Amino acid sequence: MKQVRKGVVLRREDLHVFEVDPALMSRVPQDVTDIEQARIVKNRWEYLDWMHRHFAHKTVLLSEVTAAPSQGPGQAGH
Amino acid sequence: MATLTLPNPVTDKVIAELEAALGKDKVRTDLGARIARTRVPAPFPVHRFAEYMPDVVVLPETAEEVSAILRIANQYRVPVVPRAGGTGLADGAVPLHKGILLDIKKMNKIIELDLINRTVTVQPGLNMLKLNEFLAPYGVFYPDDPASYPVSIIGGRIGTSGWSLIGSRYGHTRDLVISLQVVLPTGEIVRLSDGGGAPKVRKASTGYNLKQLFIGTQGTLGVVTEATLELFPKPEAELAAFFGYESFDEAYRSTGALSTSGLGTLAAVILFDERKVEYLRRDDEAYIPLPERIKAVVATALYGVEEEVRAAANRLFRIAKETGGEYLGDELSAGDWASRHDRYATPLHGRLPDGTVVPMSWHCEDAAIIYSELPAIKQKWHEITDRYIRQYGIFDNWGMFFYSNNPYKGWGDYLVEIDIGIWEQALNEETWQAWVNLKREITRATLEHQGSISACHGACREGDAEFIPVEMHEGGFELMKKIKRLLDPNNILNPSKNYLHLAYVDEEGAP
Ligand SMILES: Cc1cc2nc3c(=O)[nH]c(=O)nc-3n(C[C@H](O)[C@H](O)[C@H](O)COP(=O)(O)OP(=O)(O)OC[C@H]3O[C@@H](n4cnc5c(N)ncnc54)[C@H](O)[C@@H]3O)c2cc1C
Repeated sequence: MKQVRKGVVLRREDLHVFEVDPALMSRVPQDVTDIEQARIVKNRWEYLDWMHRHFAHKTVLLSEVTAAPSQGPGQAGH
Repeated sequence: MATLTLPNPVTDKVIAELEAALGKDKVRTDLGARIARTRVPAPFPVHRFAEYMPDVVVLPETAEEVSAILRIANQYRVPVVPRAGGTGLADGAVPLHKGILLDIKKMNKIIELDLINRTVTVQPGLNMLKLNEFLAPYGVFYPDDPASYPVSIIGGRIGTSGWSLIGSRYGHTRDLVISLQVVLPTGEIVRLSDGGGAPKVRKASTGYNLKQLFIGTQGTLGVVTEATLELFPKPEAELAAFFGYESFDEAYRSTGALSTSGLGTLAAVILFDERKVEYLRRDDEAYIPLPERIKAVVATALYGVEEEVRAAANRLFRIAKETGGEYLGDELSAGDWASRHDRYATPLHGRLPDGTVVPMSWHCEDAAIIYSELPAIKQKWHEITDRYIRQYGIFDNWGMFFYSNNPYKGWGDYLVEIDIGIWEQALNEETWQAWVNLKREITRATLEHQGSISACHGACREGDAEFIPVEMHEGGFELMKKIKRLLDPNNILNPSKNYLHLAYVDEEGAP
């Protein structure tokens, strides 16, 4: 677990899971296992992919069509 | 002195008549059925929950059954409140005087698909996601896309005159409804379209355009039992592009340039202010890694034929760059855009002033504001909200969005939204009244800046409703009262919504 800014921690570097600093969560403590967290992240991406297909046959990305970089500021490799 | 005629309570006799008309399985008096239909997701005076619980829930399946319910309600003068998905944020489906809760969810049949004339006719209890799943194999699409897309329902979209995320390309709910079947409060079943009665004609000049009168009424004038809707080709391509800016002013100017670009495939332009970006950096995974220099964001989306989308993307990128925008990357753009169709994922937690997390419900205060007034409204709404946060400590400011609001074009007016978290468990009468006063101050600011109280949710809630006569002061509200009295002589249909209890105040000189 790594502190990334005031009040926010990076809990899983591999999955890019950020969380509110547990020190601020005393009133609503949460206990999510690593397996459960991986499942939630995977399902979320599947859901968003489904949404794209539901609204259009194809998703075009700005970096495919223009000189825009594929990665945004703040992303590794930017 | 003025006296107010309020509807009667539901008696055993009323329930027996409803059961005789509909069958026992469509009439529910059990606590579970009633509790589940008492509130909507908007902040609620939970300490007064029982005051709003309906006496009975009815689940009709046909227009004839709806008509029978309204005739019984009229005979005994008991209130009837239509309810669709129950996701409305202005309490339209909340029974202010208890009574009969008319849940339309069983009216969920697709009646006719006409691919030649590009229409689909449905009952109002269907939701858009299910409708589009049915339509997909035919290559057509019904583009009403609120951020509650998977859960709100066609009847409620018509009842609120909803706003669609992609409305600047495809139009909003009121632009997508071609004709309606409506049951009037007195039980008559009528068919209404754009003038005349032809159910599939989009533009007519015959007679009055009565269809629009029944859109956005919050179920106060009639119950919609059938709708004929517009179909579009399912978009070949979508492209979402999010840009970051170093100041709100820069992002605001860029929003103006993007929304007046004239690009036909441009479906949405959304401006996020500094407080929204700050909130997302605090509580939304996608935004946390953004560098501090990004103070405001503009999101755009294109839909249409692939060649057009690709060509428009070049122009869009050029305008955004020339006006100070920095592209935020493919992952954030595509991912965040897909999640906008379902904002039920909004975190249901907020922060106390010391940063501690507590469960909070989400309030989305909306208004329709013209472009020139956006910076001033932003400043005023934040000042008001922050003052109440300092004083009461149970609210949290989640920042503001400004969405293009004009159908088929991005410029002109914007749906302005401030998101406020409320710690409902800490509510009591004093803090509830504080909340209503906060809403009142926000509404006053809207009216001072030539805005309209609501762009999409409606103005039924306390804090909004009492300002409808103010906004419609040039005779509009007087006309509304006359229409309501004419169609609903016994005040049975969603009584007291839109401040229309005033239509029944018995004063000297009133008809
Ligand atoms: C997470 C979230 C995001 C949202 N995003 C948006 C958005 O982007 N755009 C937007 O416009 N709204 C949005 N909303 C608000 C809400 O989803 C809409 O107002 C929606 O139109 C309400 O639909 P519903 O089916 O839930 O209706 P309900 O809340 O059940 O009813 C809404 C009103 O319509 C009336 N009504 C229902 N059925 C009928 C009928 N058959 N005949 C006559 N009147 C009827 C009801 O009496 C009530 O007054 C959002 C809500 C949530 C919770």
